[in-house]
Amino acid sequence: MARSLKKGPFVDPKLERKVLLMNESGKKRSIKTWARRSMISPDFVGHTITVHNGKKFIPVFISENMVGHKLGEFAPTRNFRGHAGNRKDKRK
Amino acid sequence: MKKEDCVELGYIAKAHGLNGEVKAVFDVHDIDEYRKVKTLYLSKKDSPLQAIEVKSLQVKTDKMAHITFKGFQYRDQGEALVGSTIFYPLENLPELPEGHFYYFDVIGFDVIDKQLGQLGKVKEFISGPAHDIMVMDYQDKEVLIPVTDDIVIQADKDKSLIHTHLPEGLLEIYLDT
Repeated sequence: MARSLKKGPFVDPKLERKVLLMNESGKKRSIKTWARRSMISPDFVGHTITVHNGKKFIPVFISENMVGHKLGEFAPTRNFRGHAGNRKDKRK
Repeated sequence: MKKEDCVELGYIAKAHGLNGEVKAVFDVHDIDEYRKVKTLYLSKKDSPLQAIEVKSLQVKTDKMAHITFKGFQYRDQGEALVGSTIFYPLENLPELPEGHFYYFDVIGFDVIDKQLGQLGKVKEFISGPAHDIMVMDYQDKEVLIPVTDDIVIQADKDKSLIHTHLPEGLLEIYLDT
């Protein structure tokens, strides 16, 4: 069920405060958080937030198309490590 | 052909239809590059590689394709391959444009950060919902680094180095835990 429009989106206040402080100072420090339920606000874009998955912190680099999603969506709690070294892939 | 000379592309998930066709799951960057593949190598558990000629490979999604092998006529033949891992020879892999690299090529490379200097060695890569993650061994701890253009800058194959620009404070998070 969708969250009431009256309440607005939930963004973890402590996390939001840290991001806003960094935006004001122009720094981009990695932030550690357990707030998986927090929605990603546009202020988060460009920051690296490490989200706890129950065992360890997963680094999430926030991009524009993640805005509106919850942080927990990007830190899976059941990690499939796959074929690791043998996996064929490419990046810049 | 040995497994060491191949990369793992995915696995045969199930038989499809009555004519020996199989459904295969691929774990690759771009499945379309394999549309015209002629031979695939299959192996179940520790058994040696078995070369099988491909009649057709129809891409269904970005991770899944239906494969018909030459000489396969019955569903039983497809079912016999279920669970097999699909291998592809390294020498046949498509050449990458400059600045790109295959993940398996850089395992063991030293990570050099723009500000922190030499850190550790690349252990493996994990795929994630947002972006892939590079696992690095550093001071006996596992450090996870997001693989994005802003953070992983360049791979130097000649010197076996990966150049990064880690966000401030990322290393400390893993060293504290």
